[in-house]
Amino acid sequence: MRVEQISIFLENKAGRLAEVTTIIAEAGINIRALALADTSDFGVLRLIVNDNQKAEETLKNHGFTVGTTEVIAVEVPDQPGGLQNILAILHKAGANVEYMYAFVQQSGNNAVMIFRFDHIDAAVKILEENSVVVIDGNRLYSM
Amino acid sequence: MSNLDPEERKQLQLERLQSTLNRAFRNVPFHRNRLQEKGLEPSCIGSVDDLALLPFMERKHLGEHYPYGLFAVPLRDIVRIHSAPGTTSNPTVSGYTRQDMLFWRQMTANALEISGVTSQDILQINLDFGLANWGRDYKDSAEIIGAGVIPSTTLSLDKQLMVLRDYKTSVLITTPSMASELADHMLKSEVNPAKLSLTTLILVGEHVDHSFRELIEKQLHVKTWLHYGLSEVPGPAIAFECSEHVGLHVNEEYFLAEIIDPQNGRVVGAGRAGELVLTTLTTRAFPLIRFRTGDRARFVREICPCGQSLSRIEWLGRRTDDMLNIRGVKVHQQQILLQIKRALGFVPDHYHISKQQQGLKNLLEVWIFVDDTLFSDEIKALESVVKRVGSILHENLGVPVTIRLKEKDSFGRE
Amino acid sequence: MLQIKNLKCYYGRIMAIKGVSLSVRQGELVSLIGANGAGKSTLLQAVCGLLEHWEGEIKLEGRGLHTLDSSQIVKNGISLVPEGRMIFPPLSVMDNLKLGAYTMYRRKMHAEVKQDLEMVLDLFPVLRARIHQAAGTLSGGEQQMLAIARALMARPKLLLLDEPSMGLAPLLVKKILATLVKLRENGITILLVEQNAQAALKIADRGYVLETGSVVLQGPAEYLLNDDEVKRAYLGKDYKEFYEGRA
Repeated sequence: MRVEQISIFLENKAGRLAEVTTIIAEAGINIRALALADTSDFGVLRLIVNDNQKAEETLKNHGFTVGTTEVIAVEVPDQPGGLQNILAILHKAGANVEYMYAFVQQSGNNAVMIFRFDHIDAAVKILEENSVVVIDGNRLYSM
Repeated sequence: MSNLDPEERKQLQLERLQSTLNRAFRNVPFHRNRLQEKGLEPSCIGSVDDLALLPFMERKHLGEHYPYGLFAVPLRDIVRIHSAPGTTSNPTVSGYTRQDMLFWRQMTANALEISGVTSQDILQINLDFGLANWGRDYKDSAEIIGAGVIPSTTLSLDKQLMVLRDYKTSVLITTPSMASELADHMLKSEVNPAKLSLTTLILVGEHVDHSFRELIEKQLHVKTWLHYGLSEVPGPAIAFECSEHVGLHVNEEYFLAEIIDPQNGRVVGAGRAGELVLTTLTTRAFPLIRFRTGDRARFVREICPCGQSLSRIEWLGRRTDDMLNIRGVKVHQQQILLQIKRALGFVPDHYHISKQQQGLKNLLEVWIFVDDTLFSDEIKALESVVKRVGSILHENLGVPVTIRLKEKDSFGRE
Repeated sequence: MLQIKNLKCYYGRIMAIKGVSLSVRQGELVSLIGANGAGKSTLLQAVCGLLEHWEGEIKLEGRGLHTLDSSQIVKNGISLVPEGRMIFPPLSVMDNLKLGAYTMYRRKMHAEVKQDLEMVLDLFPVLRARIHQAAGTLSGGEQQMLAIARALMARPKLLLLDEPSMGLAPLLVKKILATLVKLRENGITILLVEQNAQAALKIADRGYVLETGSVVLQGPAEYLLNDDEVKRAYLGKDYKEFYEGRA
């Protein structure tokens, strides 16, 4: 059920982001989703790739500080209110969304959103109870 | 102004030195032990020159005897207790008796009067809380003179400016860093310094060079005066400028100043630069005997045209130890690391501590390497690290700190 | 006027005064206080040339005293009012006083002696009343006054007093100390050694506290009077009463 996301600590320096993507590309790894959160000083780059172990290793060898986090990929009906509906369900159940971002590929006719929760198990339960489709990690990497 | 001739002053110094040594020897085990280790007794000191026989006191000693181990009077005679960051995990705790307070006020009032402060002045004090002790001493002395005192409080720059302008402050006592912040802010807020009632700026806590003074005097339309003091103990105005503005007159009836070679501990030849060492002559509660200040200075040999016969020292910029002088507060690298450890639970593999010069201001900046332990995928977690370390450092050091999270890469380039 | 630098006095091998520095400036009244045995009298004796062995420096108006004997010291302007008064009981008050002026006689200053006699008798009217009485018949307080008057006859620049309050009732002590203040106003420099700390500090400009041969405190008399340690150790519970003039 879970998706492993790689997060990388980056100082806010010009070209740093490009360096990361180059290193990953050169290692033959495919980036499936990407989100960059930043402050004025530093940022956290979040990646979903098709080979987590290799990505982590390669980046660490290049001196980056890398972490892995479990996130969830959710199918979102590609229509107005689709996302809002899901957010409402989560809010009503008291599930806290730390952050979210879009996945590059579609799942059939649905968009895919990556969610980071504080309490991942509880969140998965709530979603499934409300008939929201949670995409399995293994399937996601090869989409 | 001191009205003793040099002969009388030497006699006074000797009398005061001997009674200080006698009291320290009798009442403070630390001093007694150190003298006895060298086979010395107070009666071995027969002249002020014999001071060179005595061992030095260093900052680390102040923290080692936390909290009251160095007090030379019973606690019940202490009327004020002051802490300052030390070099060990303990802060330096110093105390004052009623008499100590009286002497301090006199000394500081004297220095203020020489700077031209009179009862007609409105005097404002702006000091960080790390120098709160000095704030109180300056307030008390200014009150003795009869000036209207606006004591030090933590106000935003805007509010400070408002007070400066509206309350018609004529004398401002502050650190050079804060003075330049104020000057910058005035420019930004389009407040015309010429329209202020400010005539006198007394700069304390940090060394300034000539160009800074010229600049700030021009910017703010004021005359600047420099005071030198110790932030840990006992206080401000140990040395002060006269109207000649060449060097600082040492309050020699209350302190003995020596300049030593920091490498070998020997007193240097007249006029040469070295580390300033101070011995208190009148301090009752917390005597300092040959205390190494870590400040670089040299004696100015010429007699001052102002008529004061008190010796002058020239306060030179660099320090002789690895303390950072941030906005007047002396901070030791060890202290900073200790506090970082408290905040994080460990000392990061890579870190960098520096005093950042931003124009005329200086700030303490600490770089911390984000390793696997510190890293989180959540921005808010990283931001809370910055906040936590920053606030613990600020609280324990008394100076504002900028924390920067860094990749390993950034540390290779030092 | 008087500068003592690093004075060390020995009784046999025992150091009674352990490196004391003390000064009295022109026109000052300085009090030296301390408990019994602290060394106060010893110090005065050294200044007067009555001690055989001492080290250090004692200077009167810049001139070292170590080569002078006691009579020469008197000639140089130091006069001592000793502990226990030491007046001559069988002699009359007048004769005691004249004896005090012996250095003046040697210099053939008879007219001045006559003047001085008038001056001290004005200062101490009770002595004028008993001018021909044998000194031994005077009361304790009167004898103390006589001792001071006698010392004054030598026209001292520096007057030393060793425990003038000893054995005297508080009211008398006040009177005598008030006289000292008067003398100081007339330009005589005074070093007062006393066990009665509050009385001694009340009239002094500056004070020194001597403890087992070392000076442990000194400063303006006012500061010492308000000093917590001095209060505890020396001012005792009676000081409040004395202050308010009830003693």
